Amino acid sequence: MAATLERDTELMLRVRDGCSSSFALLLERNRGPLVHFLYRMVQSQAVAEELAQETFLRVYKSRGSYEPTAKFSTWLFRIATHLAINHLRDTKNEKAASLDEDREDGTALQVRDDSPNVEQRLAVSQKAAEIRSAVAALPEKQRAAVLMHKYQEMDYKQIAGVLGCSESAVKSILWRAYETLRARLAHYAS
Amino acid sequence: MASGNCPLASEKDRILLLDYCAGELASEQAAVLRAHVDACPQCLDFVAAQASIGDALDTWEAPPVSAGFDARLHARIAEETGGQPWWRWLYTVLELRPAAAVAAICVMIAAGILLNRVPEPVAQPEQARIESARESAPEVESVEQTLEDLEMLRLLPVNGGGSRL
Repeated sequence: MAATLERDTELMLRVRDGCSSSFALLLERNRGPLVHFLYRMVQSQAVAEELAQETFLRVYKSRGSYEPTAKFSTWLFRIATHLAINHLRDTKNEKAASLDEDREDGTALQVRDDSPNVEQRLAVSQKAAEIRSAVAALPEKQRAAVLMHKYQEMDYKQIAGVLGCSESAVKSILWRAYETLRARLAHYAS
Repeated sequence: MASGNCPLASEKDRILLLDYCAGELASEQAAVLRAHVDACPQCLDFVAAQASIGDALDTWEAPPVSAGFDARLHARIAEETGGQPWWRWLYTVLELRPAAAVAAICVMIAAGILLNRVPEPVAQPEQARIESARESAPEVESVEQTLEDLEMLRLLPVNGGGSRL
């Protein structure tokens, strides 16, 4: 993973020097992880893509002053996390509506489903809803930390860089988040 | 969760268990903790619960990125980083800082008036005076056009918004 991040930094330096194909490559490498992270943060595919576009746009606009003081992905996810948290705060009152929105565009039940029959599919759907609900109930920073830790496989140092806090603070945030998730999803424990 | 028997009672100790579950401990430290977990029912429960949370989260897949994502982004970049007409810049200023916008308009009008001033014909030959008059006519038109543009700008609806950060 370290080699990947170094490659991104190298590409960003080329973007700074005016290489547009390097930006296309950066986009290709980071588009999926970023949109998926934002999707799990805001739980709406349309909003996630809009926020990802804004993130990449800001990266592009800042290319001239880019300095590789941190990993590229730390910078990228820092911008994205701030945008997502702002969005969540701005739309706090519409949360219930936004959770329903995905059901309309068919992205609500994105849980790996190898089950053949209706009952099993319903169980999978219910599990998906519970997982979404449990993650959505976490405070924004805890949510971001868990998603970066679990799905982006970021270490504490990198999560600390994204959230702008110390590593020990990240550990504490993660501890509280997983404690909440363990309590809410306890029935999945065998 | 912690009991009197388990030495890993504090939050710091539990975070150590979290590290163990995430496979983030060095092998020696992990081996010590594994030996404890195997002998401690509470820590064994904790590790099992954490693993089940990990498994549950693993099943949550994000949908694929839509096919038009890159095209939309490139169009947006072209739109937002391309050259924009001066009145768009003024419109943005007007939206964000009305006082600055009024000041900018005053400066522009003053500049227009100064540019429009015809120098006094001090011992100027007749031909030069004619040329000077010819040159000043487009400037008058330019100032009039600017004032018309400003009037159009004044009539534009002002939107709120703009992203934070």
